[in-house]
Amino acid sequence: MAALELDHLIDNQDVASPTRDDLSDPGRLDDVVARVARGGASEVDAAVKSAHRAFQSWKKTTYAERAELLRKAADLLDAEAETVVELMARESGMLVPTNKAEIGMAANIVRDNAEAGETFLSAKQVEDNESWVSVEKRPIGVIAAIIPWNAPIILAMRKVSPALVCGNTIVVKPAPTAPLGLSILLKKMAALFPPGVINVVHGGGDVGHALTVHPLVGKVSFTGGGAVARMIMKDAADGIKGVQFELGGNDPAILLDDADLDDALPKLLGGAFRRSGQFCFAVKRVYVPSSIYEEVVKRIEAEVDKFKVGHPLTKGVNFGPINNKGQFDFLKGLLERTRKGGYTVKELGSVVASETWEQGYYMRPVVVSDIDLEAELVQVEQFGPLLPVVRYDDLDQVVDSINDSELGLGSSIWTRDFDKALKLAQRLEVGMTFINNSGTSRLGQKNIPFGGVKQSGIGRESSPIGLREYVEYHAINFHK
Amino acid sequence: MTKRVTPATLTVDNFIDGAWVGSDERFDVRDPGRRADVIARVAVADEAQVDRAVESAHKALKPWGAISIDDRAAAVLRAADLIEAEAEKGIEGLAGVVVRETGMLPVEIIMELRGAAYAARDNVEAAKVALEPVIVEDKASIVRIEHRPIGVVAAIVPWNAPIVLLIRKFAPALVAGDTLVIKTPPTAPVGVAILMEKLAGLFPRGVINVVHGGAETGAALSAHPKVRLISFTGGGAAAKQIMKTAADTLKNVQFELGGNDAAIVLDDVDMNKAIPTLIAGAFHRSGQFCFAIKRLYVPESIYDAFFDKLVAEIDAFRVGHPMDPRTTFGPINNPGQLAYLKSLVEKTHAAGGELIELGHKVDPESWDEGNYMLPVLVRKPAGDFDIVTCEQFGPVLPVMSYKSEDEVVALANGTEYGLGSSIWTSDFERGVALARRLEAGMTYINKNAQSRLGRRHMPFGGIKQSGIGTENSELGLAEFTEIHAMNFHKV
Repeated sequence: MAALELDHLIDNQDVASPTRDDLSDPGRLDDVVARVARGGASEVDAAVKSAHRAFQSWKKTTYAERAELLRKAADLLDAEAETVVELMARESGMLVPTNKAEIGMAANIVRDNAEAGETFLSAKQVEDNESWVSVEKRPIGVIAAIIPWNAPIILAMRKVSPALVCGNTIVVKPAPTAPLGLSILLKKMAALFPPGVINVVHGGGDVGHALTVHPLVGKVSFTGGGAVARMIMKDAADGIKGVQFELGGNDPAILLDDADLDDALPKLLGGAFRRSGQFCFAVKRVYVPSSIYEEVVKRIEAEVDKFKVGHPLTKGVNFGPINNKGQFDFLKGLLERTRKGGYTVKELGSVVASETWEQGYYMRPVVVSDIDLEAELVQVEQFGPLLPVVRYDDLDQVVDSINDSELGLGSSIWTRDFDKALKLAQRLEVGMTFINNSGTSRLGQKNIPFGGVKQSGIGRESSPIGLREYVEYHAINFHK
Repeated sequence: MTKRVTPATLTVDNFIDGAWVGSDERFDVRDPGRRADVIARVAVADEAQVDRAVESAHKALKPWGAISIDDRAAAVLRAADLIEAEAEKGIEGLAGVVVRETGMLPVEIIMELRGAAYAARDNVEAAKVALEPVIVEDKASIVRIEHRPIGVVAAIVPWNAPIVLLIRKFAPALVAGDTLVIKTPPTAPVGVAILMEKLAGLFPRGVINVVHGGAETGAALSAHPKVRLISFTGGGAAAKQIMKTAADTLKNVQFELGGNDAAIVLDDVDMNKAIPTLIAGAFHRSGQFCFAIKRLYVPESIYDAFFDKLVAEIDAFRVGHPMDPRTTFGPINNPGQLAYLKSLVEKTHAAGGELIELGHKVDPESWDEGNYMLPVLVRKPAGDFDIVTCEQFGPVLPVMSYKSEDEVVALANGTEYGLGSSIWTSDFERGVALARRLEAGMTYINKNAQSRLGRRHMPFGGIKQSGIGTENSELGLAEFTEIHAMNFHKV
């Protein structure tokens, strides 16, 4: 297939740059999927100015008008999903059904945020004999949204839809290793809105820096890693800009001895190995009580062994490659060090088309058992298909160990006992706890402020609480 | 000349883990109205002491967070009662020392203490709403959203109204279950330290810690990995430094910074009613408060009459030592701020601005012994003068004329700041419609302050360079919490 030429989107126009970067298929490295315009400070400036111009009239639209356009955008995502799911597989390495589900969920996120705006954006007014108070919410202005490669459509819509429903305009920087599907969908969405409301600029860290320091950018919303977040926050400090960060996690799954294993294990393993483990709230470590440890390890290994690893567009494959070389090398190194720890390391699954194995960033799913609480694989975020399964006798020790971590995004608890789950959840220092699944229910998607505590983030996304990130308050006090 | 009484110099230490802790390094706190008087010798907290304070607060998190919200609220309400009881003692109580260190008038500080008591009570009221878990359920699942303590909060407080600005952080933090390390302002640390030691008895040991010092102490606090939120009220330059330091450990920040608040007089204003209130909104605390009126816009059609009335009222101020009963206008808190204000006046003069110095010296002979300056009005300065574009934070008020509402909205919004603003009109609808065009966190109409209802319900804070996040109300309370969402999937 010929490589696509992907440009920036500024003021609803395609804008090229003198230089382009090749985007390779992580599952077939000699396949150049696209040639992506490499932006710099001047493209950033043009995009931000376009967003700022558009803001002057967009901020005057009513909530109802904006929500209506967002609902159309959600329908468009659903309608256009088929056109990008295979391209997305070729750029990110994620499976086609995963991409399809992602776009469907992204459409719901847009609808949920549009709906949440209705109550949230209405002014709160109180009055007594002396005075009248109105607390009003206003858009911030131009939002910079910096998106990672692992689930770009969902993670972008968590920023684009609340930003727009509150009356802001946006400049999106897609991830250099997964810009394609997102940019194609954003371009189609942008056509529904006045020019400049949605802009897209491609590039690496210098584009992110230029966006963050641009004086007309009012806030930076970033999903990605902690090291980049620290740099963004330092850059934002010069302009006293608000930041919202959704960062990594080292999410524990705690099995209790009364868990319904038949129900729990498939869901738990989906939570660990979907996207080959490359998502922020993936199960990153499993804690299993001694009484059922051997049985659980055996069943996990048997289940994981069913994965068929290969190119996402190859028939029969249900486990894709790692997205990029940096992550691939990190995981290989982590696996090497884990092997040296003397734990039980099992490389599982089967290889589809072994003759092309070396042509992509492939690795088989790995289950590590008989591993200590203190092992590196337990203590760091792997963001890939290496799952440590830790035995415990003392739940208090597990809770202490989890809370000692500097990360605190998600977590999951697996038990038949609701009260036990609630009590245990309340002891965990995390932003989210899922019980008997690894992820939000439909109700949860709508109502849960998504995000983490400690080094896992600042602020929240989605739900009426997440919308707070995209407004400023204006309190008016009339003295009678 | 009044009889001069020099009170004894106090020794003020850091307050860590329930005990006063001294230090080899100390700094002097001087009376801004009589610089020769050293009010206190204050211990500087070095990095090791800051670390001890944070560790103490961190250790106290578990026991304090385990107490029910109702019990935490009750403790904060008892603190409010104690603060109010101090206010009732007048200058014989805590107010006396705060007057002497800040240079603010007794009436201002007594009002501040009462305001602080109300800020504590209002935050408790807000907490009852904000901390309530949200639970929703359908056939497939239950969602439960809880608000948890954010952890150790560093509260960094400025000199201009240290008690009330601290209580705006103290009350929401404590009712939410957080613990505190407070850094006092170097030119007004004494009242805060005395009050906090008194209130600490209401809480478990380590819940409240106080450290003194300058930028180094602040930096040690901002860098400490166990601090999870920095709540800072002060200037933009310090805020930038704090945020850069906070970035290394991805801390939350909440900033309430300066403003260049515009007051817009409309042509239907009731001048006799508005002018005294407006002058208080500009010259209260000698202009040293964040949401003071800093630029005044008067319609051309009534400018001369309005300006003349301003001159007559302001000329009645008697500037002197706050403890002198004849004084109605105190000194500037510190020599740095006085020098900055004088340079602004100098620049305005050099640029050809028309300056009118008003008011009277209570005690001309000892004028130079304190940080005194007379209130100044600047008549129709050009829009690009520093006195218009910069935050003065002192008693120099530029008074501009304007012709149309569109023009004045553009002028008011043409600043990087966006804290408060005020509108003066007899017409409610006109006032509110104009307010909605202003880029500011707050707009007051017909008084440059919050009403009783406003204090409870208004999120206090600014936009653009005037801050990040907000204080007070349910929205401000949320800054002091983390959210823990739980999602039960029904099998």
